[in-house]
Amino acid sequence: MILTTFNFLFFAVITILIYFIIPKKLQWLFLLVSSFYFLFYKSFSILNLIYVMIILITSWGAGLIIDKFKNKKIVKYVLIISVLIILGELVFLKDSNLFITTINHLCNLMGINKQFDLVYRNAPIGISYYSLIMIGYIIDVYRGVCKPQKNILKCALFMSYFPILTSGPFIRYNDMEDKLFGKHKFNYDNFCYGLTRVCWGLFKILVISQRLAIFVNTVYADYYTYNGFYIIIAAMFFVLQLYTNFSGSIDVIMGVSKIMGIDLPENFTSPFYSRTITELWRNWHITLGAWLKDYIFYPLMKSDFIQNLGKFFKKIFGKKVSKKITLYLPMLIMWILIGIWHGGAYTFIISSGILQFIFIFLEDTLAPLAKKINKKLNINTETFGYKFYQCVRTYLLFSFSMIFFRANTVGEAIGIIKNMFAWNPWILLDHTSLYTLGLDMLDFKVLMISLVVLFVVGRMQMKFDVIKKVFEQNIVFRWIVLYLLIFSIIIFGMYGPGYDAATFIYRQF
Amino acid sequence: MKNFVKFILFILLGIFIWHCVFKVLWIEENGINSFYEDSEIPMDVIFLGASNAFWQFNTVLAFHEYGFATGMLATGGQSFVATEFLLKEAQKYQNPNVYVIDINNIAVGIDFFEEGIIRKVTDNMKFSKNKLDTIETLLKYTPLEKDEYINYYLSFLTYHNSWKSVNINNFKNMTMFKGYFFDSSMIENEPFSKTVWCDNEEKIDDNNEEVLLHLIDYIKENKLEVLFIIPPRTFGDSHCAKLNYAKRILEENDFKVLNFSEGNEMNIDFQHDLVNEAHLNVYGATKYTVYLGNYLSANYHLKKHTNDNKYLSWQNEYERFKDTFKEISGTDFESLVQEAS
Repeated sequence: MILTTFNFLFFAVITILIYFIIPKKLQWLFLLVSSFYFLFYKSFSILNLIYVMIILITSWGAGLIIDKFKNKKIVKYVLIISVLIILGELVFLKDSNLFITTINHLCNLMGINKQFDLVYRNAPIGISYYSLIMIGYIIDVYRGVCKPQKNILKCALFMSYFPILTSGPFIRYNDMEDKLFGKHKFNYDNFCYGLTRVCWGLFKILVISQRLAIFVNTVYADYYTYNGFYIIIAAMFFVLQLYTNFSGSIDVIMGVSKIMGIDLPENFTSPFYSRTITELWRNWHITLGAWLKDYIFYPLMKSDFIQNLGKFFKKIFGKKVSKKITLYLPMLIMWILIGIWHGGAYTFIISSGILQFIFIFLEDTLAPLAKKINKKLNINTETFGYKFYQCVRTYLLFSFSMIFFRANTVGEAIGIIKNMFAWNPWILLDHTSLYTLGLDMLDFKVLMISLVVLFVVGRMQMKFDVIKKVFEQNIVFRWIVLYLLIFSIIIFGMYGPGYDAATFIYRQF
Repeated sequence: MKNFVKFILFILLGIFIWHCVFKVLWIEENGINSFYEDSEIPMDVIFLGASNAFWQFNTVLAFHEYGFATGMLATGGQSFVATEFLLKEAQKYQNPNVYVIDINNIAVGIDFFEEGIIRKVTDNMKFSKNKLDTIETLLKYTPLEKDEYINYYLSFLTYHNSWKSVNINNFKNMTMFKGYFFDSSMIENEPFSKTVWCDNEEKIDDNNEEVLLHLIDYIKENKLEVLFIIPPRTFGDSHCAKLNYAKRILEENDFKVLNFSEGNEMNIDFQHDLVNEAHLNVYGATKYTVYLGNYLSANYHLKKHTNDNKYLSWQNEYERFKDTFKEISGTDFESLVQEAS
């Protein structure tokens, strides 16, 4: 169910209404029913039901067994087996083609005349999210961070809570237990806050992201014709498109959840004010980063394998190098996993995995050198100009890496990068070229004004909760802001006939 | 409670703003808007049909000359399928002495799908069950999937995008005069020869026939006074033969059908009075209005409202029309009327 369709709007309104009408002790049960409806809406099949049940029963059962046999050796095996079952299913459904492509490439390289066909499997919606969420749950039970849920239906709700199925965020059992299974009364403040957040999300998606998508899609579809600065702009636009699409979806999700009194963890802050790639990732898909750090990166760093490796390298290269290896090797693994999670293709592994790792590695490694240069040249790094330069640099690096994310294949991405170097800066000034790619001058104006609003709100959001602040103002101001937002979406939104109902970039995960 | 009241006020104000915004974004030059605007004023005649109705029957001239008020539920290219629904719509607001139904489009295939033709009817109707039924029925003959119907139920999904073309005309409808359309294009002319009316018949589309028979039953059940007309225009042979077929069915059911394309009692000059092959220009329209207005006035006992204050806006619109005509053509409209009379 796409978040910007009337189907979702209808579903959300009905769900919220019933949620507050029924007896409070049944609220969680109703949420489970509506979540399963959402989960299988238009995609029900016995196979999909089996996939979902495997993850549910495995994680629920593993939690109970781990709790029952605390401190016994069997617990570790249960943990490993259950995690492998869930991961195996996820890889089977989402990443098979990555392996098939790899084998095909290897066959080519070795001169073996054998190619395997790619497979296309219909995975249940949101499986990339709840697979990791349930792995996190099992690990938390194992670590004693949370008590296992004995009721399988409650466990099912934690796994399938409908707002998180399309775009996350990654939730943790400890944070959600009381919120999901607690009794909630209708709260007018929550209602206003949630509704405003939904509108803000829709503004990002329909007014900004959908507009950007038209430009980006045109350029990427014909990058030989639209080369040079067209590609540079499209690459920069794509990052904005991705951000507004993804964070807008999260706003809608969090708004709906907030109305029901269930707070979800923030997934985005203001990534475009980040001065480094490291900082950017602290503000982008926050819950995924936190999940990977807690369940992959730190355990890997502390693992016997990495520690022994560290000791081994210490003897050869010394303490400093071995320390770096024990830091960067788990980090590299983590980034590759982020790439794989984003999709079973090398484009994702390169864009949101390896390239991000390289940027962060270079940032860390070159930081002392940059510090020295700045000191020598007497550059004040705390001025607006320097910070602005750092933000732009980060944005451009990130935009470059996302060329791979947007491209269909690595070869295509390389082709796009090659074509990027054509020299045609006049397209920026001739007042016509840019308007031939699906967005006319008026659309560009709306886009630019909307982006200014986005950046200003983003900046304010770093200091305070903008929606809360709006609701602290007098009623006239509040209503003007809300009407402006609502009517901007209605009038300037890209929806209706002729528009594809929002291709949600993150929905495929 | 206080919050609930605030919320309701917020919604109501939002609906009001919505109404204003979409009134500006969606201005369509047809008669339906005028019909709703004047729905409080009793109307004597109501026209239904395609552009032949609202391009050719000058409602404000008819009021000035004969004193009766005319409502237009006519839209460009209006499918004959819509007739019964628009008749129902008219009945909700008015109880006229006579309905005038233009049957020209009964000769056009029912499955002729053009979004604009359907939208001109459905988007201009006020929200009601009748509107939903109209959409459902008209779209039945299109290749659209059911889940695409939403774009017709909620027309803002389509029109929100027209903000790009908003200009001064969106704030004031300058070309409609109580449902009659007139702008500078209507003083132009394209010379044609009068086509000779045929005698033969050709069966109309099965669906159209079903719709016609259903309409006849509906009119009889509701005991409505209806005059059917074939407008003055040029015709192809098949079109003419199909209209003969429909005319016969109507006459067999004791309905009066006036055929303005057969003979030429109004003295339409096909060299000067047509704006294109299907429509009269303002000169032809004046002759047509004077003739048909006289006929309606004489045959349906229509009241004269010329001195009734309730109808002041009709007289004012006639004055505005005269001024507009003079501005565009440089001649006096009254003399044109005298010629036509």
